[in-house]
Amino acid sequence: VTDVSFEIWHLYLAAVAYLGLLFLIAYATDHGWIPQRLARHPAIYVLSLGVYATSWTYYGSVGFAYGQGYNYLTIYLGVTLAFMLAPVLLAPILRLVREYQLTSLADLFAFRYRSQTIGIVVTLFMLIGTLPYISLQIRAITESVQVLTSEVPPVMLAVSVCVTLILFAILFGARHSSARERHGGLVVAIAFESLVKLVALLSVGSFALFGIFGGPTALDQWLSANPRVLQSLYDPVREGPWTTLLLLAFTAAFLLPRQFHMTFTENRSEGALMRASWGFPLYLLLLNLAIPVILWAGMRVGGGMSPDYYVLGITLNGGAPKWLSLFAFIGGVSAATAMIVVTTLALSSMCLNHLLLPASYPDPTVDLYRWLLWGRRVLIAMIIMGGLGFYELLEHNQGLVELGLISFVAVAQFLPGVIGVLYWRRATRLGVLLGLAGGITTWTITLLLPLLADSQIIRADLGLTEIQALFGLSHWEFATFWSLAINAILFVAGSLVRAPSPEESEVAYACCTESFAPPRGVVRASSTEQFKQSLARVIGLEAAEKEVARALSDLAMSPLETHPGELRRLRERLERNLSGLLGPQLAHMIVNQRLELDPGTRTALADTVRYAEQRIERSRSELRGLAAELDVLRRYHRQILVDLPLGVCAISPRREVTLWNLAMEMMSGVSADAALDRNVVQLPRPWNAFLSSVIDASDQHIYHRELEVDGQPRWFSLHKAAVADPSLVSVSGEPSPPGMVILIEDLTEIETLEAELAHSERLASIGRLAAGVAHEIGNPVTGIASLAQNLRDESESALVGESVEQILQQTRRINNIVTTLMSFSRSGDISLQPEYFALTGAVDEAIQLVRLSRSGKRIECLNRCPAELEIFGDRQRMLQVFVNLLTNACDASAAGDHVEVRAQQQPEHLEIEIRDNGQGIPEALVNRVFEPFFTTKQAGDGTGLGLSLVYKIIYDHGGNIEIDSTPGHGTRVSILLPQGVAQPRREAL
Amino acid sequence: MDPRNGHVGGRDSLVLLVLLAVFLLFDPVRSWWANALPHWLWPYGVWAGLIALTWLSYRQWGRDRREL
Repeated sequence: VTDVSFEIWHLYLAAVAYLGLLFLIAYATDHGWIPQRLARHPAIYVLSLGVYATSWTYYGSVGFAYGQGYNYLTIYLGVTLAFMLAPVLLAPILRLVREYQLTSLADLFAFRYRSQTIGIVVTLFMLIGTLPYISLQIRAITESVQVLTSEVPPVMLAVSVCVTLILFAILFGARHSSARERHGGLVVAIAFESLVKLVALLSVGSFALFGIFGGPTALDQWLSANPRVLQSLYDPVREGPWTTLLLLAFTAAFLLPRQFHMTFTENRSEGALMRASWGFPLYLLLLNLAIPVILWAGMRVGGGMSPDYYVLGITLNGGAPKWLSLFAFIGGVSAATAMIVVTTLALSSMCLNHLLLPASYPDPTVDLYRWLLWGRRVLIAMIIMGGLGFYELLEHNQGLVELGLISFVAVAQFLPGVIGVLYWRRATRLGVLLGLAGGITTWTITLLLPLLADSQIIRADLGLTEIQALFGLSHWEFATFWSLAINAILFVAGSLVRAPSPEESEVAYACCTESFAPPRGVVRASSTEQFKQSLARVIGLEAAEKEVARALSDLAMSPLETHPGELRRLRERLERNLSGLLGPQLAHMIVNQRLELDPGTRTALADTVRYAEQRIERSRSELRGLAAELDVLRRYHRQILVDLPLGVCAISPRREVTLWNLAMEMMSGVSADAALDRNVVQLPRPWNAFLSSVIDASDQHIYHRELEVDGQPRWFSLHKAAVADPSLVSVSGEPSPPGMVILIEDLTEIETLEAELAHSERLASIGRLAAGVAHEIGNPVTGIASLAQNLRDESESALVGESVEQILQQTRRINNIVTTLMSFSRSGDISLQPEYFALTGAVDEAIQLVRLSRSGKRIECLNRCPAELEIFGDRQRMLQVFVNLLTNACDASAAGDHVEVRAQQQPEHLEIEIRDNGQGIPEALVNRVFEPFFTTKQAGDGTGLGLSLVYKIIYDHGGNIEIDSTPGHGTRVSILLPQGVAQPRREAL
Repeated sequence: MDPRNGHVGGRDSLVLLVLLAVFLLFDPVRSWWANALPHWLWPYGVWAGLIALTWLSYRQWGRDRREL
């Protein structure tokens, strides 16, 4: 039953509305309306690979199954095999593409074989080989309209569709000047299209099963009644060229421009590719599940319709609802448009990098980005219109699959070259060029010319049918076998004829092992500014500034960077970024010419080490066996050096720091990142001069070297040893100039402890001496005082009386000194009498005593200690502490000043502060005030023992005392007693 | 499976899959599934088997990568 009521403009509007929906999806994704988590989900990537399923799959598979039975599955089993080999086939290509910012197969070939010619050949051949495929899609859309309307669609329909697709491709595929930018919106839109194709085909299949056959059981009965139908699916597999088709599908799975673009260029993670290794074949399986049922339904109700369009035909003739026919049509539009858009984007990128740019490179005064953007847009339009032209030229007497296979065989010609990229380091550009020339010629003779002859475009009878019959091969087998065989033979022979150039060898090594040898030489440009100026002469100032800024940002590098090693990394990064913008070969030429290397200057060992380590971390060649064990050993040894509690610093023969371990970082405050690769003289002060002096010193061991760091004296012991650079030994076979390893031990803490110990010992010895002196002096002084008193009593002379009084005065002074000395000497020997007492009471008492002195009378002492604070200690001794400190403060203050005593309970100690606004203590003397007999007072005004005594008493209480003084502004003395309650030291109790 | 006993999930799954495939190929199991699964779906069965194999290999490969 045929119930056709579709009008052409209905279908056109439906197609345009559908494309509008795709616009919306892509726009929503690009503007963040669709969550990133969803837009970047691996399932989206898997579905986007469904661009493989074009009109050929959607419509043509049924026709292919009709003629070739289950051979149609080989087109998808080949893809399954390719994705099964993802870890060894696709993942390495993905890493190369990402690492070197390659955007197409032509880029990959031009990069590997270091040849612009190869890039041009690949691009041209890909363009010619793909145009039939694009024309196939346009034809599928117009013919599907014809099926639904029973009218021949006007030419304008195809033109309108192409213009709409050009608009879509430009808006969402060419928004950036470079193909190196990913197109999130486009990927989501393509994934959506894949979903639409799948649902549409499964819906039509379900209709065929349940609507036409009446269910699985009825289908089985129908198949039993028509055994030849099932037999016709199996027979071609036994007879047909399934191995050839399998091989073609295998190569097409990742080498077709659209597949390369979606699989590698738009990929966001290797994990997504691994998921696609099973997810994508699963998608294809589901897509093909309905094909046999649709075929049989078409055979049952299709009438005289071409099997290529049974997908639409059974919905029309089987009495399906109208929406299903429309949905099936939209599925077909979806398949065709996705292919055209992605293929065009991929081809435009190839044409731009390998045809347009080499042919007419823009003047540096032109805005490069704008030029590239419009170049891409024009190319997109030209390619789609080229496909339209091809569509108009052909007679349309070939099946959809036949047109598609022409492209498949064309793409298969790149297989030998790809194997060379990944696995054969001996492969050369000569071999690839010869192989491609042979393959392309054979492809042209066996496939392209017959196609053009069939369409009456040329008149040629090559007599291929007889030759094919002679070999007993089918048309496709013949074309595929001979084109690939000639290609492979010439590829191998051409590669073996001449040894690869050093440059080819280097890149071949990089591609096969995913590891570049460390670059040699130093960039002549010595600053990032010079980089910009050099590049500006080729790509213009604005582009040069943007590219250098981008590379600096990628490397997290400072624009002020001048280190040769870092600048070489910048150069390498710039080449990769420019590769994404202009293609690898052009980028290589620009960087080589404008950012020249000075090969005479040797690469720093530090760079080599870091380079090698980075490469090992990212290497695809997973380390196994002995190599893995050695790597573990290497890491272990390195970790030992890094974690060693002594500073380790290795210096190259050119005095660049090659190792700066954790202890060195802690000791110097200089991070490893800031130190590594730098010349010793470029290190921050004072380490530059310090290490330079150590390197230049004749002694291997330097003990107790003082260095002022941040204003504080520090002491170090250093040991150094010469270390030869192993890379130089291996290359030249001669002894290398020695580098150096320096071991640095920080002695500051030991030095401080020793100073404290010496101070304590000095105090103790002085105490013992004072006790002896006091004892020896005390008795004679007492005798002198008695005799003087006797003399005063016995003499009436005023002169004698005055002299005696002076003698007595001096003896009292001596007694005071002796008493203080005795007190000082006894303070460590006599046990403390600890008790709880109120701090404020003790301070008040001390203030009262101080007021009795001459200086105390003119100074106001203020007690601001909280009343609740208590001290557990010897009250009398603490009283002495306060008296001594307050006396000193009053002596240092001018009349009318005031002295404050404050106290504060801290979490771990009680802090008592005595502050004055007096003359202060000169900085040079602050460290000496606690020394016995040191005083700044006039002779006779002080013994120089007061603060020593204070220090000793506080020390005996387990506390600490600090002095902070600014000359002219006063002094602050802080007493810190543990826990607010003095914990007397054991020896003092 | 416990990795401490030398078992690795993906690898063990592969071994099990091969054993299952061998089991499925012998009668009477073979005749049972041959009757149960429509004849025309057999190629899809083989294809699904390949996909399952890839999935298990992916698990193993992913595990190896993570261990590195």
